[in-house]
Amino acid sequence: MNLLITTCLIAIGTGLGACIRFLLGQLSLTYLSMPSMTSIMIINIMGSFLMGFGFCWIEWRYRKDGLSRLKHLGRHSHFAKKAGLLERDATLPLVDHFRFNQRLQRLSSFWLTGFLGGFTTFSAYSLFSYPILIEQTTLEALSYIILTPVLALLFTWAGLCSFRKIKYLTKQ
Amino acid sequence: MLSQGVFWVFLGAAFGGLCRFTLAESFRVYTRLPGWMPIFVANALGSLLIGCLYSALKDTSNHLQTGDLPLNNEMLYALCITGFCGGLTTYSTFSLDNLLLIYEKKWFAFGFNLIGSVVICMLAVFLGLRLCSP
Repeated sequence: MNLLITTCLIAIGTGLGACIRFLLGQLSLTYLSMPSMTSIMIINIMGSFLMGFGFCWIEWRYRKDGLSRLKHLGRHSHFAKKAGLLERDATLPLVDHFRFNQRLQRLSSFWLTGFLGGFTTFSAYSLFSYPILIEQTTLEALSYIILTPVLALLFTWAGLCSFRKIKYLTKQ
Repeated sequence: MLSQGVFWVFLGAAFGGLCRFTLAESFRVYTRLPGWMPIFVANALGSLLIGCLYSALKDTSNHLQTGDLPLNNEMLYALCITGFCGGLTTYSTFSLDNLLLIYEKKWFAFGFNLIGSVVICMLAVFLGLRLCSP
């Protein structure tokens, strides 16, 4: 029953996220005459920022059992053991990560796995990386290929840091 | 026209998200691979699919211009490419996994995930375009 509800939430969330991506792409194409390559890049980076923010939100606002995987971020950080490529428990799936609490699991399955997972897309990114398909130069394609993952990673980190900052400001 | 497109995108994306969730759950239950692996596999599969579908649908649009196929191509594009492939693949979980791998100091897995995903997905798109081009 729990699995059924989680599955339904993921389906609805993914559908909503993809609809918003589709509408944003269409609107920016008609009103700003922005090519869909650029709008996919902006959407991916925005979704990564929201993912960092939301993950931190659920992890630190609601998780009370002290097993947070972001505990390395604090002042008392310690070095984790170096592990191999196929080590288990490096990164759990997001739904499984919050398995101990049903409410958190539903929250993360709808917003993180569903909504943000449908909002961002990898397939369009790798399709637009081809210079032959879309009319663009090789330099544009190369900067697109390199800039999107780097900026997405930086913006995920910025999302985490901005939530920490907000939490710090509201605490005082 | 736009509302019809939204409906097809919703349908395809819901199915794609279910496929991604099922893939992640089955990886977790049946294998001992780390958690970024199902996202990696889903991204590669979606890239392969988008290559196939892009060349196939581009071909039908040429037929549509000559009046060969009575197929509503734009709706099929919205259902398959924007909906299903976009729902199956994800960028946000990919970069969150990369960030967590940095925090856990697993540099080898981080480099493989970041560079390997980009390279393998581009190769998958190329393979898909080659497979379905006439």
